[in-house]
Amino acid sequence: MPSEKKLEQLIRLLIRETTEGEISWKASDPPRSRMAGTDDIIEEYFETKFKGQEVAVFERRYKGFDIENESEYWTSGYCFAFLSNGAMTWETEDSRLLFPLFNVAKESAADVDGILDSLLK
Amino acid sequence: MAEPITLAIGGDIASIASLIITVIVFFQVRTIKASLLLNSRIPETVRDLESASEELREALKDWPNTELQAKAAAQRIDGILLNSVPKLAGADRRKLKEVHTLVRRTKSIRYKLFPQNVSQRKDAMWDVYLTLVGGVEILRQRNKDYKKRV
Repeated sequence: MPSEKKLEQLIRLLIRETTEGEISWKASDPPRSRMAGTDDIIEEYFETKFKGQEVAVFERRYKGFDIENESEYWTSGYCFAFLSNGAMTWETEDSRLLFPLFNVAKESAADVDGILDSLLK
Repeated sequence: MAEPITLAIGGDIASIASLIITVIVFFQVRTIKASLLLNSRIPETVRDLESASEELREALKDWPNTELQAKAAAQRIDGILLNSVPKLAGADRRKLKEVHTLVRRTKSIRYKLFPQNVSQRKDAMWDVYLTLVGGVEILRQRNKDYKKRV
């Protein structure tokens, strides 16, 4: 398990570099191996290359179980992953900054600023 | 020889016991009231902090041209935190207090005296933003727990 502090440092760096336009993300499909044998639904998955390393951030939707009411409910979590040749080598949900990172990656992949600029020209 | 417990002594003991119980109930009610007030305020605080943090991030995109907007956003964050930090407790309070200290630092005399330190000011603003979004996430999770409990 890599140190939480280093992971947070990396995610902070990715948020900053993305916002400043140094790196851009693209929407893509999750690797097939990630989806095999699981009920997880991953609709929004974004990838980029940072200093030569492929990284991804995505929203994982899954069914949780409420023990008190004995019923299932839908919930979601945000994940960050390292990839090697398109295959996921490591994945984590362990950071409070994953939701903000997901949002900036989504904004970058959709090129919101670019579209707004071209529409307002 | 021990004196038998008369009605008067029994009454005294009962009134002392009821006084102790009243004091305990008073503190319990006070704690519950504070916790209710705190939990009912969380969604609003999260919303306000989210919009202020987004304003700050927007301003950081085009630094230093948008430094004034960043300062205005930091000012807004300062105001929201000034109001909400005293109502929080535990980890939430610690984290948002940390953000508050960082916001205050962006207004320090050091930056006013040396206006050429543009990149240092930018780093300080980024510190505010990134620490703030971490704090907001704690509050969001706390709100989820609260909604599940009630």
